Amino acid sequence: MHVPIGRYWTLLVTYLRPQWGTFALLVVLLLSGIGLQLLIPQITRQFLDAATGSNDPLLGLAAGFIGLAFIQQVTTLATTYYGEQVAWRATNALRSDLTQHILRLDLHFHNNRSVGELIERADTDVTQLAEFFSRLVVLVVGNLLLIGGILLLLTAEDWRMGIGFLAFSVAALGTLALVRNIAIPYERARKQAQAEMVGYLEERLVAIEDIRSNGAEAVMIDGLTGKHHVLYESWRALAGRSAVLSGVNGSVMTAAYIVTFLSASALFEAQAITLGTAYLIFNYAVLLTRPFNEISSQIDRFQSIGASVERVEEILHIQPRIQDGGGANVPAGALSITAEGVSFSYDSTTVLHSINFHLEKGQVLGVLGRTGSGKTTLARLLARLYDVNSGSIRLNDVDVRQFTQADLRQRVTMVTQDVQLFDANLRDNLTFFNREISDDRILHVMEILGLHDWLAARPAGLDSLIESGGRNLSAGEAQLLAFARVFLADPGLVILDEASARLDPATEARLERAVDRLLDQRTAIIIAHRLRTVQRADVIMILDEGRVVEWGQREQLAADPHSHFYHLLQTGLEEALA
Amino acid sequence: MITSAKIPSWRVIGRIVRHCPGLFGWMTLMMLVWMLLVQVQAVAVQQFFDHLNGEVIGLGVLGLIGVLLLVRLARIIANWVNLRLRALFWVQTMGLMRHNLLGHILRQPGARALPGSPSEALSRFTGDVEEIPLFATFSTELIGQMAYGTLAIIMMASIHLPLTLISLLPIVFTAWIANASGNRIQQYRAANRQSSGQVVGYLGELFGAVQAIKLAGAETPMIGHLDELNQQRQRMVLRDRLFGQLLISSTANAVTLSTGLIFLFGAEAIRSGQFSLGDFALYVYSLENFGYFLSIFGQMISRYKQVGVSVDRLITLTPAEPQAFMRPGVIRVEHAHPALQTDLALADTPFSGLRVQALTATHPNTSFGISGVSFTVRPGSLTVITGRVGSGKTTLLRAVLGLLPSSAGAVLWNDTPITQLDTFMTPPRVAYVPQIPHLFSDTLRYNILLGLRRSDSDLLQAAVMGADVKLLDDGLDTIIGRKGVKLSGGQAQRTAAARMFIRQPQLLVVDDLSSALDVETEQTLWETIAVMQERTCLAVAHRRAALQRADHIIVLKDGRVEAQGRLADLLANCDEIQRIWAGSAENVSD
Repeated sequence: MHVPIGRYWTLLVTYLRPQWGTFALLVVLLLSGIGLQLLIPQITRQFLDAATGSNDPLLGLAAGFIGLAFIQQVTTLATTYYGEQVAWRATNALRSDLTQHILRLDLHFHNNRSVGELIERADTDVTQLAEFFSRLVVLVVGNLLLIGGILLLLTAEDWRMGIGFLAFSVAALGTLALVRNIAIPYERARKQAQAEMVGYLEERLVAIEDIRSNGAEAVMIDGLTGKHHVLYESWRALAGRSAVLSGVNGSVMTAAYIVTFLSASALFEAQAITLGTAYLIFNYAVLLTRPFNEISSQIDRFQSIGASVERVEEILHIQPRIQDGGGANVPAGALSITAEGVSFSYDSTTVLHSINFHLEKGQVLGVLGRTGSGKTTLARLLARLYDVNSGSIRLNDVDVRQFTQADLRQRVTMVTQDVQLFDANLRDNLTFFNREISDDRILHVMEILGLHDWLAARPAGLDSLIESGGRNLSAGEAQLLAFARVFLADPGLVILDEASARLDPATEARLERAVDRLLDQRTAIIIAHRLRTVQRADVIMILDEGRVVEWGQREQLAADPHSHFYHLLQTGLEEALA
Repeated sequence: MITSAKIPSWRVIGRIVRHCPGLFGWMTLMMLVWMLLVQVQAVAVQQFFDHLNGEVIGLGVLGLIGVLLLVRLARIIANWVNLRLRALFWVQTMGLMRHNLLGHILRQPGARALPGSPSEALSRFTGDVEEIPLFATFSTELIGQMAYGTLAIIMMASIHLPLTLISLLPIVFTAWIANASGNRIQQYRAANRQSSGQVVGYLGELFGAVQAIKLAGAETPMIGHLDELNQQRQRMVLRDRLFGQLLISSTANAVTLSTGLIFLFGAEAIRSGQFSLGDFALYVYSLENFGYFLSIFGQMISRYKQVGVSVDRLITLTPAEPQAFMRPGVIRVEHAHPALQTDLALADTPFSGLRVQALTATHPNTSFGISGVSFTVRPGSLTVITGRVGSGKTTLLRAVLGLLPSSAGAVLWNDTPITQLDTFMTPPRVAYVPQIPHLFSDTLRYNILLGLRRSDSDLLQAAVMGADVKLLDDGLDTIIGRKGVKLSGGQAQRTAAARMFIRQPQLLVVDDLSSALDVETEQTLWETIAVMQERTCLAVAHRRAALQRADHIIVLKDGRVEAQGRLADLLANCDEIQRIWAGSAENVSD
């Protein structure tokens, strides 16, 4: 495995460019810090030579030394502050971009990933990158400059020693480079094991009631131990590699002492240097190993960060299968729908087989069929959550693939039975955090839906907090809010996918009038499993195992004793009259 | 935060260490070896400079180099052993705490089980749980550093006592300041954690609602809200880090200050040869390591406060038993073991009836709920609860099941009042299908059995899944994606129903099972329930298919029983059910 420096660089340039000013300040602070570090051993030498040899005054030197200690403190703090600021600005931008990218990826991607795993990518991995940004500057730039400065100053003392320490540095950095990547795959395995454990927990925490009511507590807890076994195996393997890394790092320090002992004693015995200079060499040798030491102790970090970069990049490089079209305008008003030879499969099983139909604008289509017959899939294709495998779907005779998704979804809206609510106030839940939608408009919509009294019963009104997943709402209330969301958009095609399934009849009746208003001047598809729901349909389509088995005007089908629809009506009516 | 149930952090750490004392002992020993050998290096450096200065030392330069090599070898071995032990210690203790927490949460009344969003709880299961074992391993470092510090001070003092005291002054002073600012660290850290938790919680909701966001075309405003939370977090992190760095670098820079003081007060001693260059080297070497020790000590203090923050957060996860997370126990993480399979004991007594008396419960955080609800479920009957949205149907079911605590009233099983409803109302007595069942990213078989020991043929028979299983590529072994997305709504609901049927409970409890099913599948389902031997069923429903088969109907309105009885009688006397009945007519003729 190789740490992809090129990719680090690309990321760095992209996210540092917008804050070059702060970045320049950071560089200045860093350089001052390095200068101070180089200066302090020089003063120490001067002092030691003065103390052991001549009778020069020592007080001034000692006072200056103490002054430097304070300046160093200020520099360190400022470096930290600006370093972290640059890092967090950059990673916040990256987190935002990555999350946006993940939202753009289609459902093929999302179906195979747990929420816990995506959180690991967009938070844990991206936060690691904050360290990458703040440390990369300090390490790669700062420490290389420090090493260069020390080597120059040692050469100034004695060129042979300069060469000796240069050789030592090259050997040390070479060795560190050789071993620096050995832990990356192990770190990745550990992260993966951690992500799986977190994903496991996440799924159990949202399913507490399901687990309890099936008496599966012990099994779930036992499964968690299994996940920890995998975690342990990966962690143990990683520990071995980390020990090798830190062993190499410590050996470099020992080697620095040995080089100092050999060179300083040889030069001193040859009377080429003073005792103070011998101490200077020792001082610089220790200072020299510190960047190595830091670089390699950070290698562990770099390796886990490297793994994070890879995972983030991996996701950034996944292209959505669904691409925006050339941006044809979605026409205003009601939309006509044409499906021609539409086939579709999620994986290998074909869900829709060559579907053909045409629905005039403003008409209401009722789609019936048993569960698994492809009704929901058809709806998803219309909203372009997936693309057809073959054939085409056209709105007003323009293929849906020619629109941008944003335009398309403004005009095609779908209400599903699963209503997603956020841990935020009612307003943000209705507008999806779109602050441009005025309260007046929201209140107007609530009125249309007959939710006025319901809202009035809540003292905080639109500021009422909705708990995550709508736990403080009944399923029916959640469904009503989903309707309110549709009303806030202005679609030309409305798809109601078993939308009223969770409403009790009395509440559903209350919605009828509102739905009438919604469907006025619009095309609609009502996917239902109950016959009553399709009463308002002009046209009926019956799907079975992904094929259209019946299509026709509702009234005609209802009157035709040989139609499936007629048969269904009989079942339904029979039930109603029994 | 909870203050009444406050447990001192050291006690928590002690309890966690006591889960595996042997490991902790060995880790400490390895740290001692690792640290004390540092001072051997310091002596080698001292000897080297004294040798240059003309003193006669025993080993010579090459001998000193030999010592350095031996020290390195010993430290490498100690470190390798230590890191391996840490891996085991961490996974063992973190695993046990998560094990305890999950166990407690699963056994607590459901609706109150989590204090925030599941993602928020998840951050406690990860970051906060990790904090305690991490501190325990840090404390082995501290023990090593303390042994080292003691040794270093003794050696320095034996050379020159006044200079030792003077040079330690700045280091001790900064350490004292660091100690004094402990509270602030805790505050900053808590604010940092909280704002990070908000980002994680929001991301979780965002990724859990991808389809809804796409359909609403709401990507941009949703990201806008993320940016707000991001910025908030940035402010908190920056404040926290800057303050932390202030403490760390003060102790580090104190060493430079100490060196300056040695210059100031030791100049004469150096000139007179009383304090040799070798001694100076030993001092600087020791002070640097001592400074590092104090900076570790400073970090320890701040980390110790962080442990306090994490413990508080863990406690709020399990308010009923604050110490749940540190309950002793053993989990085996070193060896793989086969997945647990459970058997269901048969219910010990036959079911003779369920009586609900004047049950009152409110939904947490709202004023909605049920009050004074009474009814009886006779063995072999189908009892249907009906009513419009918000009338309290689901609340009633959940209160009866103990998923929601009730504030008054009683539930009697076979004429015995049940106090621990939540543990009692489970298989083999009761099984329940919620309105929105949750599925796991695992095989279909796992999702139905949830560890129950049953053969595949039993499984297919018990369930209404036969046709579905044939449709799936790998049958029962098909992995159903996250939240079971690849299953249709009806299939997911049938999977949940299969979970219930295969447990053959004495009482089936169903919350609107039919809502995602088509007419024919729904009828099949009610027929399945109707023909089951010795089954008793309590269901929320409002469809005619269910109402007609019901032996007893309870009509709820605004959380109270409006009427109850047989369908025919209710239709004659009760307005509410007439409205529901009319609304549920499957009549399509105009």
